[in-house]
Amino acid sequence: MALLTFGEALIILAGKGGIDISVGSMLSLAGVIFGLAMSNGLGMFGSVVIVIFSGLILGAINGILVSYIGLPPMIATLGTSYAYSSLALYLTGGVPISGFPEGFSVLGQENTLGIPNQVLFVVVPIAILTYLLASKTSFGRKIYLAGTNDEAAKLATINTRKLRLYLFTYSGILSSIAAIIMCSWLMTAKADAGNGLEMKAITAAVLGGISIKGGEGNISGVILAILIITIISSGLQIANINAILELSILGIVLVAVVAIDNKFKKRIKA
Amino acid sequence: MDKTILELKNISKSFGGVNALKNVSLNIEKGKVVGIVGENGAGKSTLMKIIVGALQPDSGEIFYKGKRVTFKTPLEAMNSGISIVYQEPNIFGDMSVLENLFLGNEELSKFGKINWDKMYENGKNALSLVDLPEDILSKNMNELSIGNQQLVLIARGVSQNCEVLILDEPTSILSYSETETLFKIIKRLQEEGVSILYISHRLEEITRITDSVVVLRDGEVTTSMKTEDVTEEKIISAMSGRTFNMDVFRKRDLSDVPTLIKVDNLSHRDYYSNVSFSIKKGEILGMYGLVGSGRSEVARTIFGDLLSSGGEIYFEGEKINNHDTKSAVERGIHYLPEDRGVQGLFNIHSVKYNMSASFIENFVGKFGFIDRKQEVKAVDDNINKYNIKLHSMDAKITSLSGGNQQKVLFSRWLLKQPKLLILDEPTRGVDIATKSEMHNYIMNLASEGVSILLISSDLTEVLMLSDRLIIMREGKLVGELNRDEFTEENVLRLSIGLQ
Repeated sequence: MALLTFGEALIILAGKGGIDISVGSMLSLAGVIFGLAMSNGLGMFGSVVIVIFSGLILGAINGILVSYIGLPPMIATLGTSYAYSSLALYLTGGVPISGFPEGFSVLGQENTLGIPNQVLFVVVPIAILTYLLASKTSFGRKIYLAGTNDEAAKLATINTRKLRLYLFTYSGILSSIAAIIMCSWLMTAKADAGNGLEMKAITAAVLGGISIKGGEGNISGVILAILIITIISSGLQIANINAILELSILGIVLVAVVAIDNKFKKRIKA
Repeated sequence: MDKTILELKNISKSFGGVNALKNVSLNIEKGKVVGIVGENGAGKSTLMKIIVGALQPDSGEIFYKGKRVTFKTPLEAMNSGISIVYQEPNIFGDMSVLENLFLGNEELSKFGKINWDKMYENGKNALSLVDLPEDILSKNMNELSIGNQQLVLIARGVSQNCEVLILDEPTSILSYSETETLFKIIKRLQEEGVSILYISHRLEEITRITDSVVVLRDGEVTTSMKTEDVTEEKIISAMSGRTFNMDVFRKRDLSDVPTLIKVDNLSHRDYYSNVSFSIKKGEILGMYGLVGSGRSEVARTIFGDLLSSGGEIYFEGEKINNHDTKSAVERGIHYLPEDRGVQGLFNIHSVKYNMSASFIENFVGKFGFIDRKQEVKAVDDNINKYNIKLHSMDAKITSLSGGNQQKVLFSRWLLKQPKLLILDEPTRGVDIATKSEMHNYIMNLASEGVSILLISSDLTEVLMLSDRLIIMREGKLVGELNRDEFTEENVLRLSIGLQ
């Protein structure tokens, strides 16, 4: 979930109605591709390369639809989301792919120094990378500027089409990395592994203070939001509250936080 | 004393510690046109809003027809005979002209039903006051030109037995002929005994139609004089507290200088056709034309933001048709766009971000990271060089006055020395002091050898700065004048199509 959120956050940040609804389906499809590659004997390294490459392609398709064909991001990624998840289902025939080697579970199920390996070796580095990208590089600055005023950004020679293409591609790559982690955790590749994750990713991005209008917010807020959401859901598990209620609590938190934030901002203005 | 219709006594107003108005007193006589001038932020709009009750003063009194009044809303003021028309037309585009005319003031018959017949009758009369035909009453507001929309709003203002009409920069969005119509209407209203408060940046308008002029500076009335006594220098020094040299033009010898850019028969399917001109190194070429004449589109084509459908552009002898904005900037072609808000500002971000936007890549150090020290230094240099007034470069751009915002955008393009600088309406909506400063900067750049394409609908500005002037109308180049042929009349004739 965390990885998907980073891609999502940057796309929303870049404005012009940017949103990626297909992250969940990309995760599902990438996971299936990974499972197929492994079971066809491509080996760990080859499979990882292939899956990341396919994530890149899936993301780039979104980017091209949005930037160069000019579809609204909401529609474009809704469409690809259907296409990707049905393709995933078709490839597996509805049967989960299992039979990953024993050692593969190291990534998703084991800890180092008490921290889950997936967090320590994947999520943390990517969080740092995304943070640096957004707030310290010229690429990140361009994201903020394009997200604030696309027209002005273009006239300041920022290639906003290319920028959005890159961001959708980044989101695709992160989805495919998340797919590998998911496979390692479940030790199977399921065609519905990513169902509903796109909404969680959007929730975390917004909760982290990314303005849905673009241009405003920062990645450290998003990291905090991911932590909070993780704490809430594991807290609920420990407290033995029905998992079905988890989403409704998340929804309430989202609405409440944004409402309080709005109220607060208005008061400052007045 | 019975000639006085509106009197303000010691009006003060502050916003969060900032004094917007300090003890302003004003007397307006019946049937007079009073011009109000002042820099952006001098308090003109605040004062007008207080008169109509959109804002309440902290202290002071308003007397209208000898009686003390405190209006709570502009509608209340309007019903008593004081109307205001704001700078940007405040319209409901999808509603009819008739509905816009009577918004909030509908004629009601019994049981609160709208009496359309009566409103139509009244609407007809209102429109006749501003020379608009009655058949537009049923049209949607959006179908009218901006100028006519403005006139409808004036009709709305004067229809209710208006005795004082406030016009806030009415001509800033009007074309030449629309402005003329407006002036005719003002004259007529005046003869009918309506008093008019006329706010404007344009001194030539002020001197033409007003009886007296009041100058505001930092919330205080600094001067008020009869219009006969007005000179440009007097007004400007009263506005800014400084004196300006209006004559910034410096003669340079351009006879042996090579041509920098040559535009040959450039055409665009929708916007313009067969446009040809050239600019020498260090020359200022003025481009005059009304909004919609295709001038900005020609500029954007040279900058690579629009593709042409025919013709050629040669820059330093090299053919550069349909390049993109990035390569334009690499070649040294920079473009300051026309619309500050829509095309220029990143308004939730800081001055620093806004200033460095076009050249962020220049501040990139290792691994694509922005070198903050370098960025801060460059921004700081520009702030000092162009005398931009702010608390901090990390302040939001919107916290600056309009003039300073424009300076930020202007100097954004000077972080790197351009070869050709295209300025599209560089001083629109900018106060006169800032304008005069910017004129100096433009002249300095030209003296350093930068070629400038100066697009403006401010005639005084293009006449003052340009070495040569080309005039566009309806997508075509209709004339070219050398500096010794410059007269307002010549230019206007060409731009509206008289021969």
